[in-house]
Amino acid sequence: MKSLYYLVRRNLIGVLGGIMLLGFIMIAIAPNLFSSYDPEEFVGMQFSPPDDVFPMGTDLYGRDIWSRIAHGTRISFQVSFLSVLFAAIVGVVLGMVAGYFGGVSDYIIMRFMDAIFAFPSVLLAIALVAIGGSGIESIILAITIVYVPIFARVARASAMSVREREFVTAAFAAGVGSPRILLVHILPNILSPIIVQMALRLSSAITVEAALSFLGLGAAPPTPTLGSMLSEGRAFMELAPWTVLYPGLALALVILSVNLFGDALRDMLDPRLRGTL
Amino acid sequence: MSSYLLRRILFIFIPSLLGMSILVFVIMHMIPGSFVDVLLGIGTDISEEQIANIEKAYGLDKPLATQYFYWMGNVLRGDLGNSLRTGKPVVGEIISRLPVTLELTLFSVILTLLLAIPAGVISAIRRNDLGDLVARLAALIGLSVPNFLLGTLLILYISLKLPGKLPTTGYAPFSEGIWENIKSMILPSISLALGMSATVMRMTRSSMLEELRQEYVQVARAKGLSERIVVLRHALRNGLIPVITVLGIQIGYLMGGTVIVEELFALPGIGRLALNAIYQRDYPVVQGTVLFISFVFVFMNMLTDLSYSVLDPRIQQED
Amino acid sequence: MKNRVLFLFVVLALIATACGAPAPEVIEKEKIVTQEVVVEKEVEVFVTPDPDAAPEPQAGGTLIVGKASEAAGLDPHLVTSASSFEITSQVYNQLIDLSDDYAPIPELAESWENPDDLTFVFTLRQGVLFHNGREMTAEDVVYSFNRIKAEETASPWATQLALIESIEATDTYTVTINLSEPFGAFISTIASSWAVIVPQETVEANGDLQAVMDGTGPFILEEFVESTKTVLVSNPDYFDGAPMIDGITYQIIPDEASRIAALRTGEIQMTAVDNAASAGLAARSEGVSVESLDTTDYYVLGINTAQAPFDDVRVRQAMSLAIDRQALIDSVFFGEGMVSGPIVPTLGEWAVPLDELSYYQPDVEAAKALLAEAGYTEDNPCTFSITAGAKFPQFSSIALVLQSQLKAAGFEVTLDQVEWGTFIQKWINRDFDTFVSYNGSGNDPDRALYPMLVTGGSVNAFEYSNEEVDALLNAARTTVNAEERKTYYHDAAVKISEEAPILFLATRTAYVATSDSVQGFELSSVDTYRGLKDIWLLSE
Repeated sequence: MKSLYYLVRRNLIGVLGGIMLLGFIMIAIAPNLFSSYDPEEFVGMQFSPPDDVFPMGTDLYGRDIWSRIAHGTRISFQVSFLSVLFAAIVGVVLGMVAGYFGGVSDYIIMRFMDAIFAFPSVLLAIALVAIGGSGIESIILAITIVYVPIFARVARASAMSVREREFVTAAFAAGVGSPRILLVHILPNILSPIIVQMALRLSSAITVEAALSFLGLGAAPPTPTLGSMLSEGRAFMELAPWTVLYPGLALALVILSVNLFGDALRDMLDPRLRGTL
Repeated sequence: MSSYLLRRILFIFIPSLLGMSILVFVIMHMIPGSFVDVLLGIGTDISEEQIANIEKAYGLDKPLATQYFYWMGNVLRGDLGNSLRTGKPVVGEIISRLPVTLELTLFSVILTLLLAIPAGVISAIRRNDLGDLVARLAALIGLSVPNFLLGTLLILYISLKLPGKLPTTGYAPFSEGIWENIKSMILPSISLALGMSATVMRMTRSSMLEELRQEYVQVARAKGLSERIVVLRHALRNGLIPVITVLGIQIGYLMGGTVIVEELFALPGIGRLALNAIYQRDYPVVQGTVLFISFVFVFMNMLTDLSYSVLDPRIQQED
Repeated sequence: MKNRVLFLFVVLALIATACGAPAPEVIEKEKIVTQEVVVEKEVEVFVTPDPDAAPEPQAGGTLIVGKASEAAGLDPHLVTSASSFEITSQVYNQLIDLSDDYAPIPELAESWENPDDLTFVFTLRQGVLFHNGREMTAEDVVYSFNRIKAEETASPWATQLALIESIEATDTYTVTINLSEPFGAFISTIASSWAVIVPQETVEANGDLQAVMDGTGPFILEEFVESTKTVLVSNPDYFDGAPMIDGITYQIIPDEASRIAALRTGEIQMTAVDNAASAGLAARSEGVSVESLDTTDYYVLGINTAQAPFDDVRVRQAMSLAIDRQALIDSVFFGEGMVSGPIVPTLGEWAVPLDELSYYQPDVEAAKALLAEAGYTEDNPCTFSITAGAKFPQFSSIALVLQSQLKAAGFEVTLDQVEWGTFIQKWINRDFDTFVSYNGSGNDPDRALYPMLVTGGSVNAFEYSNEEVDALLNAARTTVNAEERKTYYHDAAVKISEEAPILFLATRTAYVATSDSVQGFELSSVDTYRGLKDIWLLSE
């Protein structure tokens, strides 16, 4: 109990972030518990300022902004979680293979990763979304592809250092097959930098999704997303600033909570990296 | 050293760019809607034969592989082709937009350096006191606000509270006066600089913390040198090394990452050039600009890696 | 509903007051409705200046226009986008132009005759000079039209001139055109912004006119700065009298909110505004007026009539009954715009009154009945998607409203917003159930209806085919007598509304905001900015 107290005290900010994150996740999972209106229905007067009925006002069509924000966070999390997860899986496989086997496969895989990595990520995401059509799947796919190289690199670097460790050489000498070595010996030991990277990428994935929606390439209307709410509200900012302020605040807070939590996670898993990127 | 460089260029730099060229070519041609489709739009009364004729005029009727080799062949000779929309050389379009993006990048980097490094150093020195906590919190906020959100909020603030004081969009070229030009760059640069500053500040802080723990710092202190000299003359120099690498990478990202800010503030930079070209399916322009941006990115990366090894000979070069 | 009407009233009132005389007169009341409480805010009034003291026209000054997107290419025979034509129409001239009533008026052609159904003879003005100094003659007209038709030019407009069999300069200032078949819309066709006269030597010296401009028009291109601005200067030798202003500078400002801000600060003096809300915002600013204009463009719900459920005409008719076009206008466009039949009401006498059209009065019950007849019930609802291109947010807005209107009649509708280029691809491949878009009627009902609804028409993406409609449209097209054409189009419009192959929704309203220093500007539905050559600027 005492150690828990000290753990929390040392990572107070992280814990706060975790709580905030948990709060947002709960809202994202069950937005209807927290908001009263259908985000797609025209329930009020257009551009009505925040009041008792609509705590954050209404937008261009008279839709409740708070309800839209609540449902919008769901998209933010869905897209970012899934794309980071998929990117990690694919990246780890590729990186492990490249790092462990070295040689030609390493070369080919990494050049391919370099090519994707060098492509300006926003433009790549836009082009991929244009190919995939609108819809959550294609955004997830686009962001996944953009992040695979990063995970591949991290996995590769870690795999290369783990590869030299004694227990690996021992297993190899004992005739253990490569796939088993990869799965049982290498993978568990590269997990912590991967998890750290996942936490880092999560917040930027949310940003990328918001950016795509901001440009009009995100999930199709009338599905609410934080980014598209920002771009819709932008044209009438001066007339109705709440259409921009609240979604913007929500977006920043969501990303902040992920960052805080990610920081704390990283501090716990890898103290060497404390305070860095 | 130079053979390492040569190997690096031959085996990594060039193949990456080659792979990139194939990637961008393939991706662009996979996007639904060809250039002619978008040019004609819907509702243009035109016959099938005429459409085919137009495709031929733009060289778009040949098989994809042929188009790729034709394009690459020209690229290797320094000719990035001509824009399908305007007929002007892509190289010219890039050159005319480059100064804007460069200026934006430069201003953002300067702002970042001015803000982040002192903040990081001070934060490290006064570890865990109020100033440090405030700085770290500010950095976290800076990391959490996407650049386009910050830009939007800045525009909102300026137009509501200080209308007319700063241009909220548009680019004023030098011909309209240096001060006009700088004014038009202020808001976009701040939007970009905040996020970068946060990253650089945190890196500086942690790196400085690391340095200040080192033995040589204790030695310097024991020798009786003032704290200020210890920090600024000794610790900082080593502490800045990782910061430089981060900065290098960030600058590399900036070239491609200015797209949204350029779009938001209507700055005629390279990012917007590429973005509009994607929408218009102007293949040579997209391919040319992406290739160019990637070239700069990979080049910056290489430069950063090399400088890192130069600054710290202990670093082993892998791969 | 009542609140919406109130809001619409307010916006209209604002715009109406803004369109007034040089200085605003009326007391404006802004009603801010918060639930039950109505707070009236009175905005101060200015005394009307003595109308006799109206300022005298003066020469000089450069008009600065805020432009949303740069002209991608300047060759009038090759470009297709409005952003290019905005500039080319100030630099080049057509043979014939159209008055605001869509009647032909002389431009480069002083007069013309129609000796028989297949022949047109144009007499050109004399002494008209190209910007390079040479006089325009009949040879230039022949060259220009042939250039458009030529295969090497690859002009998107070639098909429009396909019916021209031959064109010759029968005299220095006389051009004779022979058609291969009678074409009632011929005059309107050549009264288009792409059918302009260009000098051969300039084209040949530069390959094309994408980067170089050389016409006979009131303005001359001086400078084209990529993505930043385009500078035109007045042509002192313009045949119709040199413009009073010194020139026009187009500043590229893609973001509408920024353009309005720039207008307010005086950085620019004129700009187009996309939507009613921004127009209302602009109108509220001191020193800014907003004019609105109903164009001949119209919003439409295109339907893929070849595939189920739309191959059943009752489904389409039910859709037409389920939607409330006026309510659509009220909520998406704040009441601006008119309900449109197959021929837009802005095409003057060609249009057909709404009460003569079928399925235009909203009737949800009748819609349900038709659906039931067609076999759709609550357990088996009629389901389809509406595709909208992301580039135009108003399309999605329209789709949203239609979705809720259709739902009331029992349709299950989903929305599919796609990137613009992707949308075009889907349109080409007929890969859609329905889509929202807008269409131009051009300046003649033939241009509006023929390519779109005739069997196999080049823009008939709806796979629509109906013999009666074909017959009527073809007859109207080949008749030269305007009165006869009117009856054909009348019958065609009625038949089309019965068949409802696509749902015509509403006209598009264009807004132009100007600062008060701009005087004498007349907005034209035929060619928005053609009044620019006649404006003058009040100096500070």
